[in-house]
Amino acid sequence: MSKGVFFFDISAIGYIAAFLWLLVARILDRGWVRRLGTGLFVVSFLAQSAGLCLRGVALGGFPVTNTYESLVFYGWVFAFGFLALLGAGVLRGRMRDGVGITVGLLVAGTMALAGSPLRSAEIVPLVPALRSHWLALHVSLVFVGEGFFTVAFASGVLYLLAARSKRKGEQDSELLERLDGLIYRCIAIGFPFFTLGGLFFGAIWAKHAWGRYWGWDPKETFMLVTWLVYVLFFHVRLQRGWQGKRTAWIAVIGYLLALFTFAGVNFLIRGLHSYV
Amino acid sequence: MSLRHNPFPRDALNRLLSVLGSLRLAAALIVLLAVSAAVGGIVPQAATTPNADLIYRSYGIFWYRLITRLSLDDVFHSPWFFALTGLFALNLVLCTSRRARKTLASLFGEPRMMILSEADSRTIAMSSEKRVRCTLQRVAEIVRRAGYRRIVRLDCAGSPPQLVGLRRRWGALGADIVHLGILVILLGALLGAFRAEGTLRIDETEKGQLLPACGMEEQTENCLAFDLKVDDFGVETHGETGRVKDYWATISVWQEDHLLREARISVNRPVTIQGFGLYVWRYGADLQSALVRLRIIDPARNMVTAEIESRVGETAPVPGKQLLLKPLQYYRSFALDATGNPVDLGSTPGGQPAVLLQVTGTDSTGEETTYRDLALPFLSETNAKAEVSFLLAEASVPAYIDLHYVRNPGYPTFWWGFVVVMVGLAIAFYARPSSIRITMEPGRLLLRAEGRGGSRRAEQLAADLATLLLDSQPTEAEE
Repeated sequence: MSKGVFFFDISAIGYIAAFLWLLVARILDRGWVRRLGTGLFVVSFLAQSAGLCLRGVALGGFPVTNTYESLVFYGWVFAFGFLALLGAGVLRGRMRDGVGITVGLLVAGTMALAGSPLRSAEIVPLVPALRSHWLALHVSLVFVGEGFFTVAFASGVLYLLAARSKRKGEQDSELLERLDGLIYRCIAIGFPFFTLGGLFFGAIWAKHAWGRYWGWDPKETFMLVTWLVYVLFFHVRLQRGWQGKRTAWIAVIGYLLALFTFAGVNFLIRGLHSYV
Repeated sequence: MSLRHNPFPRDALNRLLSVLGSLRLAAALIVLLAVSAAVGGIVPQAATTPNADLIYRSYGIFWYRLITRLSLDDVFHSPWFFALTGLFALNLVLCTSRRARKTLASLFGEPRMMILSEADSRTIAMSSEKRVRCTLQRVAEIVRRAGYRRIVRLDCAGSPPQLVGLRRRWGALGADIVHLGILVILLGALLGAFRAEGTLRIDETEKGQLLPACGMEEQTENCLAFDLKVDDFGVETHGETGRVKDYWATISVWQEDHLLREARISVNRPVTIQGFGLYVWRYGADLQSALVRLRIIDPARNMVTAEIESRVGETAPVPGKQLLLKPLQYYRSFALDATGNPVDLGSTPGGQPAVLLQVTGTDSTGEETTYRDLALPFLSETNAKAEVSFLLAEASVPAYIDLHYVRNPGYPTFWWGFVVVMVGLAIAFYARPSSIRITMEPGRLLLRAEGRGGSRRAEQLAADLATLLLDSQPTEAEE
């Protein structure tokens, strides 16, 4: 049984198309082309949401029980983070194009990885350790946090690229300033979710399942490492006044660590969180 | 000769405290802790990795020495990691106390007059001094309506009056509350050092028996405070797929022959009795207690000569032969790994069960000989050529369940730490303090908004207020 896969395939194709379309929009700089790209993104997001709902119903719970579902949900929160900021009017003009292209690429990549033959799309009954209502709270909040970190990462990459071109003589201080503000805003939104879902709800669940709230399992350890990097971000930004390239680099490093915590630890290091 | 006070010790102490509570040290410690934790996450930790020493040796002599000498094989229990964490806690205490002092002073003290200039403020030109005086009360009213609950008028000789509106002043405490919460969590972790914990392994033969309170642990401080009886345990499976759904156990707790409580526990559904949390940890087949029934075959005549039943690890004589038989290991699904060693593949469908046997007898010279043999459910070619062969007729493997028990005095502190951190984060990110200053100068208003992190929202509010002030200028009739 592999419910929802049809919708996921549709959304994967849609995201790839949206990414390419937004790239074209960036080159042509035409409003209607841009709107069409955003529309494609929204349609893909809706298809993905429908697939997740179907799968959740079939599973009788939150659909993050294996790597396939986790990757699909991971992609969904990237898209959610982007659309939430777009809806709030935070992303405008060139910044919207840049962030949209980067997030589109990330979501399309995640969906492609989920759809690869390496990951089974079959619905498999939950193992005893995952049969808990904490699963939904723990995983969803971490992913919501990481969705915003993704936008911060995309903004960080764009900032570094824009700063590089500025060095070559192209002036766009306003874009840099807005990207810098966006990095801070996204991390400030995502961090409480990440802390609550990842560290605190994770600890409560670990206490229920294993009788201890913290056990230095590789996943827990790398989640703490990621958290510490974002803590550093706030300290140097708010207390030392760091801005610009330095904080953009921290946002990029933090996100790469979050990605490693999600995927790298699962595949490379064995631990209590290694569910396939 | 004059007596001079030597300020050195006090200065040195202050300087030391200032360094220990500095942001620079905090940043360095955060980086060091992150790097240490990452190393501990990547290098297999000896306590949880079988054959860790062999793994380290496979990295080469340089890495082996580095790992063992720097305690990278047990990072999270190494003295240097404890020292780093301790230093981090000290830094947090000093930094928070200093910060909180300043924040509280600004919360309860009067704001200070700040000279505003056109360069750093918005200017609203007014037609006459009379109008400025007239708007002063209305300005205060509008500022209050905009959410600035505390409004202070500052008058200073030689300077025009200044109106200061303060909003969500307590929001400045957010970071301090987060720091406090982290300290509480660290305290909870410290108290966790006094925890009592252990594991009880119960197999099917022990159902309904009163269990020793100390389980597998040898230290008496790790014993349960009551007697425990596992009345039953088992596994639930999904009907269609046969996959494991849950492991469960029904337990009864006794104290001095009185039944205290009966409960059913399963994975993710523990029970807490007298401060001890009881958890279902593992469920499995106890291969070391397997009971095997073997047929003794005479290959020459291709006949079953006898049958014996023995438990793994127990020695039994072979009827009609001068041989002793000891089953060493039972395999539910036998296979050979890449190095040629036998391994158990578990409950693999279609797998071949087997028993590794140790056979002891005497040869023709009267010397004792020992050899190993493998008993399968059929006769292999090798077995067929031997003097005596063994055939695995039946095996029963008892199931076992591991119950884990913990009493950790740090838990309540730890959970409160979580709550405090989350409250602090909510305040720090979503209740940021802001202020607005308005200076009344002849013919103009100077207006400046401030918010943490250079918030543009505060600036926007200042612009809105400027518009409102213009709109609310008294009309000629009001004058």
